[in-house]
Amino acid sequence: MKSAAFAYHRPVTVAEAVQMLGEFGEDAKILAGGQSLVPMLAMRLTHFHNLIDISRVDELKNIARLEGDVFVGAGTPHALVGMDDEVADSVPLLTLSTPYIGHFQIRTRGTLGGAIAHADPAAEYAAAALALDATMEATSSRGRREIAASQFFTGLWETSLAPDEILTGVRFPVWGGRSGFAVDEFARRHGDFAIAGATVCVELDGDDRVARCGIGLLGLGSTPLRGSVAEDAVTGQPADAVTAEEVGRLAMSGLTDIPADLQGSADYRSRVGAAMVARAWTTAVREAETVGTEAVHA
Amino acid sequence: MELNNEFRVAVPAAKTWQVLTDVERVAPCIPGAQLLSVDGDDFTGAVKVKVGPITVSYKGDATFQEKDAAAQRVVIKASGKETRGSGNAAALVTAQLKDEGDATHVVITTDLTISGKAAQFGRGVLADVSTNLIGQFARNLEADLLGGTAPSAAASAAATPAAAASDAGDSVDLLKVVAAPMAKRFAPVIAAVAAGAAAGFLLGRRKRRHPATELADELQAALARLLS
Amino acid sequence: MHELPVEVTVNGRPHRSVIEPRLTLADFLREKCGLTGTHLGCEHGACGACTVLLDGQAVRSCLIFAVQVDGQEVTTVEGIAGDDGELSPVQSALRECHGLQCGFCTPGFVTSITALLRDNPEPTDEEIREGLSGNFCRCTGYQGIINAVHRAAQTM
Repeated sequence: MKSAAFAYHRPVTVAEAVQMLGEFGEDAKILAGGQSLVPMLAMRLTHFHNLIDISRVDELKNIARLEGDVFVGAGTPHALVGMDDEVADSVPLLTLSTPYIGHFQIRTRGTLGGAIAHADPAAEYAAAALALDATMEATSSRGRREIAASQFFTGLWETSLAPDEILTGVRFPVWGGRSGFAVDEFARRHGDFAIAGATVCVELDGDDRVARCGIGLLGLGSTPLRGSVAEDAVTGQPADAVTAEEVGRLAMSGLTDIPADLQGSADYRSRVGAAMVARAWTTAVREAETVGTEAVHA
Repeated sequence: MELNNEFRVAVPAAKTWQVLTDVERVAPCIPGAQLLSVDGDDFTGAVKVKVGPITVSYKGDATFQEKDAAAQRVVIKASGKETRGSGNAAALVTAQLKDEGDATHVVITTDLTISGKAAQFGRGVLADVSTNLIGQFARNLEADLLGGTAPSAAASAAATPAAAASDAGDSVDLLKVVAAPMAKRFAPVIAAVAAGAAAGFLLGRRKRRHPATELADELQAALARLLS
Repeated sequence: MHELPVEVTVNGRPHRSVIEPRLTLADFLREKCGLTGTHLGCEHGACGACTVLLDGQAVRSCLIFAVQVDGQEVTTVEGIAGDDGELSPVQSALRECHGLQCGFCTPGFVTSITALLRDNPEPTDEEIREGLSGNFCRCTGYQGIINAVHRAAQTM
């Protein structure tokens, strides 16, 4: 099928883009990479009278280290995020998530901001942003504000962005010290939407206790989630006090709305989710353990 | 599939019953719904459901199949067709009221059959959507029951910011000034139906002279039509 | 809803047209430029048959509107062979290793493999399979295609 007709607008600056969005209101949609929106338009699952193409707003494409964070401009394609050295050093969870996103051709166009603003429950970057307690930057013609990741995802494909706001970037905290990161996800074919997945970050203290951790979950609800029950159980404990299997089970135990569909029952997803958490947890902890105790926060 | 929802309104059951059996008072409370005609217990309407970027619009008819005042039970049978697609939706909605003195507890059981676009969503999504919808419906219903004349009050409230802003002049700002307070009060109805219909209608005519006042008058008129 | 003018350089030649914004790059290439080598399989980004190179990078042309690439350069399968018609190493390898049967998926594989080998000139089997996971073939069972990638890597 082909998309229904729309009017096309191409701003070159963020200021222009937010002005257009404010003007057109609900009748308009931001087009970034288009890798999620265009299929919806083509299948006529959705329609907007105005598309505001921000794919050529250069000021949205950047990756910058700012104090203890890495700021990723919303218009930065997945491919660039995945290849970036600063990201690999400072926010490895993003680098590890990138290969799971679709296929390399998708990653050329799809943007980090687009993936997060589209808020698919199986979006890898969204789960990573949650696990890391990232901060989203939203801009409108009324100004700029920050939204904590924990407040950002409000429902299936819904975020707390106001209708006249554009996600302009995400600030990811840099985890220094003895930290480890891992991502694992299961899909029937490589590049398919995950049936369930986990994005895990863990930091150990000098005595191999879990100082803090984040277990991002994807595909296990109507939004990306955190395995808080598991996080609470392990924080402050020696890293080996809770088995990986138990961490996985605990992460699932806090979930109330595991999807059931043609891909699998809720019970199946839960078992896959527990396994993904267990594997990612094992890898992340192992990595953290290998970091010398004299390591300092970056 | 069967969807189960419940809500509570801080109003005695008798009053809740009155409104729930009066389609002209119930319809404005349903997010994204527009009542098109009423003929006794039969009515036609349109409803637009939004899930993120996806909107599914239905147009169809419904009827009060049962209004059992003794048992405090209302049963509505509804069916509709997608306006931009080839899907159908049919629902048998049973609302059971329970008197709790100063409040009413309502249990809604929906037997939903859906085909087309919306059927691609798993049961979980449809359950989520219905829970959201019913949650918003309950809030709107309570506001209506407690406020009494809430809809028309807001329509005149619209006139005030509109008139004030029209002095300020700029038509783009006006749309934002009027839209914001309206959106808060009637977010469900406005977002789904008014913005689509009114904005499209208004924006299309914006090129005329005195855009600010035109906009104010027409927005107000469109809203009054929807809410009357 | 208004038509917009667009100019895209395709395989080195400029193509100008006035088009609806909703016309995808894939349809623009096929219908306005007459280059039907770019195929439409799923039209939602999964099958890879529509893959072309945009400013050298592999993209799904079914998920890009032609108006978005005004002023940019596109390489389709028709632009992969030399000017004299000599097959590129990737094309020759596919032919020699029986990496195609009906040929429907082949243009997408040619552009994708070309891009992959440029970025990773000596890929392992695993890297090839992962890299090409976004290109579907119903005929060959993929082994011939994988052999072709190894072959092309050797000859490049």
